[in-house]
Amino acid sequence: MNTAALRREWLVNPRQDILAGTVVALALIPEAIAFSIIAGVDPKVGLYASFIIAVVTSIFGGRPGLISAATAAMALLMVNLVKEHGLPYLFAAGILTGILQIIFGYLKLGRQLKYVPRAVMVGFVNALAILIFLAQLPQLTNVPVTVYGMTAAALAIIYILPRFTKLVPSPLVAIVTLTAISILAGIKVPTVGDMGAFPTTFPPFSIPQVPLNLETLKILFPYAVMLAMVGLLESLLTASLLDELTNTPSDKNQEAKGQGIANIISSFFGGMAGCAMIGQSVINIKSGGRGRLSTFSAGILLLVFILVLGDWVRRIPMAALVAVMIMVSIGTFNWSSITQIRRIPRSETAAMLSTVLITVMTHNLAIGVVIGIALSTVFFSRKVAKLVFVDTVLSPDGLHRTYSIAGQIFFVAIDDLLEKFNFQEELEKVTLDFSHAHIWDQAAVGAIDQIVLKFRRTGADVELVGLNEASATLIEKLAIHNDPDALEKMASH
Amino acid sequence: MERLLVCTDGSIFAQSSYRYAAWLAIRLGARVDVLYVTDEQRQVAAAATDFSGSLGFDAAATLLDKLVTLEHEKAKLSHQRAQHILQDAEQVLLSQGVTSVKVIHETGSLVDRFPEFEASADLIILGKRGETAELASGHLGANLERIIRASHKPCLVTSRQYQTIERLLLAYDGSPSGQKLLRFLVNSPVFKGLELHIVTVAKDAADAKAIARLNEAQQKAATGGFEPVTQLMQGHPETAIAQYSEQHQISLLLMGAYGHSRIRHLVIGSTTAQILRSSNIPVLVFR
Repeated sequence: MNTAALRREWLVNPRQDILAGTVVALALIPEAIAFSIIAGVDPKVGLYASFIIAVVTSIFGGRPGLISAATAAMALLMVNLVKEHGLPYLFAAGILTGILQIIFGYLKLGRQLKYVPRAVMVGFVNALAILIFLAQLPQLTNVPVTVYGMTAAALAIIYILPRFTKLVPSPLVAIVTLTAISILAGIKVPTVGDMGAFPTTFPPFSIPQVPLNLETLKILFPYAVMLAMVGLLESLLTASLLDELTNTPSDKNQEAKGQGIANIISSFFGGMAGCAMIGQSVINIKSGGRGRLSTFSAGILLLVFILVLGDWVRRIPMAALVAVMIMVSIGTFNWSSITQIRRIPRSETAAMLSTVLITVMTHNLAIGVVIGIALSTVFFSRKVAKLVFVDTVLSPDGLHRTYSIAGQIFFVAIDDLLEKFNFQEELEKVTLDFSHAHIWDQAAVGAIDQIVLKFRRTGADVELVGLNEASATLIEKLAIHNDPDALEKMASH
Repeated sequence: MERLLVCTDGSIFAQSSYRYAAWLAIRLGARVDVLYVTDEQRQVAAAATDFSGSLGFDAAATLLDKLVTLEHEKAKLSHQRAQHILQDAEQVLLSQGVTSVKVIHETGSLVDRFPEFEASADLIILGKRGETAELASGHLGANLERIIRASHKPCLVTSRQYQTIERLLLAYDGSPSGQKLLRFLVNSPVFKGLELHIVTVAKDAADAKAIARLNEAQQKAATGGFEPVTQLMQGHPETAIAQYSEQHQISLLLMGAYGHSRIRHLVIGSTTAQILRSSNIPVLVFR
């Protein structure tokens, strides 16, 4: 890589980058803890992961300024794995996820993101926001009433403070204020320290203790595939969002490789797998972060804060954390997809809502996205199939009819196409004009065969004109109406 | 030489660059391209001061809206500024009698975009310093060193004040780039009829090699119709050359971009950089 590009990506605006990195590091602490709790692991697993993933992706990623760490989307996929098989399997799955992502990077899968329609993207984001919100509910059930009061107070600080000053992170102020109040007033509420072990040292290197056999692979592989898919989807989606926000390009395949490397290293150092974070990346750009230094400093500062402030972090009331997560979920949700619902085509809203619904039901973004893509494809093909028109002209003597067919002729369009022809008419000649049509598949050729043969049976001569080259080639290869034994073949269909 | 490329940024140094460009263009019958590059990096650096770390409703969409408006205004301003600078350059050049002027406005960083424009030019003209370091005398502009290093074409580095070119000083060390420069002097019509001084700096006055080199240069220059004044000087090249040009009121210094050392082919010679820094007159650097 040339030095000019390196300098540009690292040292665009070091002062702004480090400031933004600080804001992000502070915002990452509650999120990393919250996502560890979602996955059912100790907070240190998420904190180590966030530190390592941020630092590694800042170096190897393809999108400067993108913030990656432990995320909700990934944490949700890990719940069952942790519950049934334990931590070593989680780390092993993380390594496998990383390997898959690197392979995806080399296969240039980043470019295939174009097959994910916007409606599904929006659905993904909305589902993610809802899942983050839902994951906070256990912290709000069967708890003292004071917890509700504290959550409300924290939310008030988070949203009202920026109206007065934007120089200090308002979520941080909310956390500090609530922690201070709960300690000073001696209020007994659940705190972060109740949720598990905290890091006290630099993450230690260890190889996950899992048996290396086919059985293990069978357990890990489905999880790894889901994690790799969801991780890349969120990362590449966030990368495109940053491209748009900053008006600069990024290397999506490099980002995929960077995510993979980060997940492998994180798993070897006792961290969970992660991916890019939409909310944090937006906060980074909003705070002036643009270069790789912003992500790098966010990672480093996160570890510094945790090691220095560990004792205090343990005493943060869960209520404050919940408030921050509610903010993240509100900020992640795409509200215009709801407020503009009347203006958005109904089929797209349907695809979006299905993605959301299925994801929320299964707690699995991968399934939601796959079904969303399938639905969008069906909706799209139906729309294209509707654009098939047939015009007919009868010659003055009433013996020669010309059918002009326009549109995309493929399997979905065939039923509608066949209805447009009148095979009862007594004609001597029929011309099928395909000047404005394209023939796409076997089903289309089959339909044309059917039309031609049916007209022949009525005694008319049929002529095909205006086929474009691709359509003509397809017909030549597949059509049977030119065969002498056409009728027998037709019968054997 | 048919095409001169003037790099401008609208600073004081650019003004004298236009005058020198005009002088050269008329004598060479060349056309002048004026290049202004709007620096996008600087646009990026000026960012928001929102450290609230909070995400409101539709955070990304709101932020995009804000950034687009901000950058739209800024880009509009810098675009207008570029138009003014280029119009001014065109006017100065035309009023000096140049017949063919083309202005080019690009966005990016000058150093990155430079190669594509350099390829079609025969001589590069740029100010010693730019708008960011206008008064930092004794230093070179940030773009200048990098461009001289990257460029394969001769560069005229202009000074703050324009003076009519009357007396030339060739700092000759016998290096390939020096020899190339000498050939250019002899073959090109541009400096014909001007007073030429040739100086070689040696460790001591009896250095036979240096004397031979100087004589050879004198003979070569004479074939081009010059009657050169030659002198062998002692001491540090940069101080000796500066001293000589001040004493004899030299108005243009000509020199090779690097000396004999192989490694120096990669960078510009330290002597060259020193002289560029300390001199108050324009310097034509040959590669």
